[in-house]
Amino acid sequence: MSQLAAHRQAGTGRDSQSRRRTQSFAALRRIAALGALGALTSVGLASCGSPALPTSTDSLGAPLVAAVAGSTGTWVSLPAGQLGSPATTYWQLVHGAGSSWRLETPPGVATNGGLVTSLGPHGQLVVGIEPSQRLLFSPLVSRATPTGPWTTGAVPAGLAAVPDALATSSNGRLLAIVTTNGGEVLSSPGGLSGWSSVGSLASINSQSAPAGCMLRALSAVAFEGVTPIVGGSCRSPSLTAPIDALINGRWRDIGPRGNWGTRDVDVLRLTATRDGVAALIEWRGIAKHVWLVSAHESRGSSTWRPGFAVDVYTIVFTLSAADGSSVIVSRDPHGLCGIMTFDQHGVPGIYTSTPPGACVVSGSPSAGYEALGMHGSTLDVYAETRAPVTWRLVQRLTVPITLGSSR
Amino acid sequence: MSGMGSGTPTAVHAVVVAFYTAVTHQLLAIFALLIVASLAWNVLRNVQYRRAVAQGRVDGAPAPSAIASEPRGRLVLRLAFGVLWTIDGLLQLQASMPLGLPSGVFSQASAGAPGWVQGVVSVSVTNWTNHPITMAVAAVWIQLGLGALLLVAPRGTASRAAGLGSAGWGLVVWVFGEAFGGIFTPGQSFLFGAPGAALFYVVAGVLLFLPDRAWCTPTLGRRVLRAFGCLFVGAAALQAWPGRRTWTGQPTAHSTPGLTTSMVQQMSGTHQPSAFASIVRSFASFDAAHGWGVNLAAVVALAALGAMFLTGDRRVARLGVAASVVLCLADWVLIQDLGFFGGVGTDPNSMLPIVSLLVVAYLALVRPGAAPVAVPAARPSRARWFDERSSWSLLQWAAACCAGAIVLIGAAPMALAATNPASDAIAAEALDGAPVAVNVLAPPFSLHDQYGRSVALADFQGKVVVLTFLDPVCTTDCPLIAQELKVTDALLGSDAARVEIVAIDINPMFRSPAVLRAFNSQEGLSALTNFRYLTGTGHELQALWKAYHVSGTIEPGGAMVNHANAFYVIDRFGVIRVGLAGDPSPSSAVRGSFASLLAGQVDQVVHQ
Repeated sequence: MSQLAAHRQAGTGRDSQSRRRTQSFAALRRIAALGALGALTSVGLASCGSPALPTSTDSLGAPLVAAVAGSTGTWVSLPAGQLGSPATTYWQLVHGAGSSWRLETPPGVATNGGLVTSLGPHGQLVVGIEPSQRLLFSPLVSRATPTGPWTTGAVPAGLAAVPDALATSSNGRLLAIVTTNGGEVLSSPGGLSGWSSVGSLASINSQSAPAGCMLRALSAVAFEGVTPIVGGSCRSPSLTAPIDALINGRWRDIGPRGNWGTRDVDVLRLTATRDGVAALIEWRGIAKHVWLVSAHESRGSSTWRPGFAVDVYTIVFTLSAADGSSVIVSRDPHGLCGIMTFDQHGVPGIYTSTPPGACVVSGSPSAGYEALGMHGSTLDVYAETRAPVTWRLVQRLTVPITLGSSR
Repeated sequence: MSGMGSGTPTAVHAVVVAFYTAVTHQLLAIFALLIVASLAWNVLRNVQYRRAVAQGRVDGAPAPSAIASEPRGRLVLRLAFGVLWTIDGLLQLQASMPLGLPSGVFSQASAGAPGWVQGVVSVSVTNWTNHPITMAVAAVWIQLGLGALLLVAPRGTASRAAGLGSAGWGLVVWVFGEAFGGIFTPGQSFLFGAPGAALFYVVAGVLLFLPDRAWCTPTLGRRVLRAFGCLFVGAAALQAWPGRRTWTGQPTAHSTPGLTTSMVQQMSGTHQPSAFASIVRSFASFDAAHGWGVNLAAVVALAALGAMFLTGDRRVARLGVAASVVLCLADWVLIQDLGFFGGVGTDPNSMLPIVSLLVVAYLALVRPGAAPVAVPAARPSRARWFDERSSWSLLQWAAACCAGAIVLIGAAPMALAATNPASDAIAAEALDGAPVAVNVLAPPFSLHDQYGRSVALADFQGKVVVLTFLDPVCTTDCPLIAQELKVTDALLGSDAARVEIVAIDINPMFRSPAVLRAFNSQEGLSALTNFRYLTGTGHELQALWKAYHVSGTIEPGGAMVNHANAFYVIDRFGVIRVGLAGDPSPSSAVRGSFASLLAGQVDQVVHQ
């Protein structure tokens, strides 16, 4: 066979030259085609192997770094440790009263997922531990007084990662927002067990008045007396802010009325006050700005007033007090934090900047402020001095973190 | 990629001992096989001699055979890949293979690959981790058997079967072991081993499986060279593709190294003789300083070689093959770091197979085999076939049978193990230690279960009790232990009715039945009718922890409770028979291994 092929190639004259040229062109075409195939294959492989671009996600609701304040003092939850990874981030609970701060992190449970706190009308504290790693439900601890013994229990699902995921009524009843069924409100008749569902995102949307917007998420719970109140986030055109109350077994829209338009409205905090509920509301969509709004609801009537235009992504801390006032700390692009306040009547005020790295704040305009900054496992407490406003370090606490205990 | 991720101390003593014991046992079986084969060869020679004498061939010589000699290219291919498979088989004998291969090779090969690729590779990870000894020993014999078969079977059915086996096993390795050679993984490069060494074993196997006539024209060699031409051109394009960090070295000590620099730096960190490490480190430094130039040289060389192979011209191909041999060997030494260092290197990586195939393709192009002689009209009888064999040929035939049997000695247990979802206990025993025989009366207890009902140890008289301690709000180990208990219960089968699985709360703070129920619900333990989670007052629990030599210590600062993981198997008379320590692994296969270990111990106590 090879001899035959050699004989054919050994032809002479114009025909054979022409055939050779044709064969050369054919060979070149083949080479080009094969080369292109190889290149295309490699390009395909290169594109197959390219990592996907990250997608941006909006941060909804208030940050988990938050505080509640009442007659027994202020309870702050904030992260410590090496914040780069959840496994090395240990959330701490700090209690402050009369310029003295101490660590009150619940013992016996890993706090890597975060802490949420609720302060009852009589000063009883309930702390929810956010799920982390392989823990899917939320342990609870409670104490009646700031130094009393802890009692323990659990919500049989994961608490939503919002600062007001828990609420306590005057009669000891509890409310919790959990992440099951796309967002659900559970109620406990008293104590830290015996939870049952009182509403889900879907049921609240179906029961509340048509004027209310369609809730996208549940973001805060509170009690007005013994009536469960839930706040949420919505985007639909609406005339009322997304706040609903469970009245006679049905959820009813009780949010403050206004032309909220087509903008996003999110309830950041809900706090039970002596005569109703105070809400801190975020209203997005005016140019690049976000309005922070303070609203009060009492016996079916709501009032609200806009406060600040801020960039939503810079809110780093919120405090809600039992008297209806609130403190918001936002951080500018340079990392400096500034204090904004709403007093118990919803009157806004812009206060001052905090010491570098201390973006957690407690206090009021009248009593003065204290700023807390956690650096690794060291908590620095600064107190302000008036005229001119300066900050001085008044306390330093070391958090005994056992790094590696959650790996 | 072979050799990467090495250095992990995976050679746990118990597993290593079990591995080498199994290898030794099978080696003895293979020796016995060899003895039988040599006896058979002697017998056949005698029979052949007597038949020759009876047929009047006075000197007893076999009848003349018309079999043509093996084409040069096929001979080189067969011997080269026979040697490569043998080297691979010997590399599989490394002590780290049973426990190190899934994490050190399989998982690393698929890291960064699309989910479906990781899903495919997870099959091999799970199978290997479930049966580490069986799989590791099987891989040794399959590869040594294939190597031997290729080396001893020059022609005919056995040789083609060796090619088919080589292609088949190579495909298994390429898909499940090399994650498709990394072709779906970002950051892969021809220089690092893409499209996977095993793929070239597959190609070699297919070529060896081809009928003799395929080797008798230059077409085969030309086609193989052109295929390599495409591969080289593609590799050049991939190497030149912008945005893949191939054009950078490491401009400053703190800047991110380029792809090649990063790879070479990683390889230089592999545990290996210092001379090799020094060479690779030197090249890493050179590439860090001249990354752009090195990549340009690689791109130009690959593209030029690809173009040369695509011509199909003999003289150009000769030059191309010679240059490719130099380039591939340089890459093998300087970038791939010979491929097999580090304890879990499974092969010498891709460059030696490529060189072998290129040389074979060139030989097939320039020295095709002789055309086969005219085939007789009728198939020769077995008697005639036997009479025509030389003594050497009969020896080769017997050796080929032995080699085939060695492959089966590996492949059959591997296939059986792959169909068995239950894990072997050996991995857990190696990681957590062997169960400890105990013979003491179990400390009694009287506590409450997750529903608040009173439960005492005495209530379980007549049943075997598996006792452990769990923290209901634990975020790491205890949920995994719960899964181990579920698998243990499933493995017990009908015996589960004679067993109670009891967990005692070991968290001093979280002791309420509501928390225990939340944990049971989270882990699906509520469905186990023979599972009880017990709690009590702080004093009751403290006393019980002390009695069972465990403790739950509260750690400050938001950490979970610190406690040891302990398991006790209590017989039906209330006597502790076995104690086990078990640090649960995130790997489901290792957890399954512990469940097998525990179920095995429980089974023994149940049937005592």
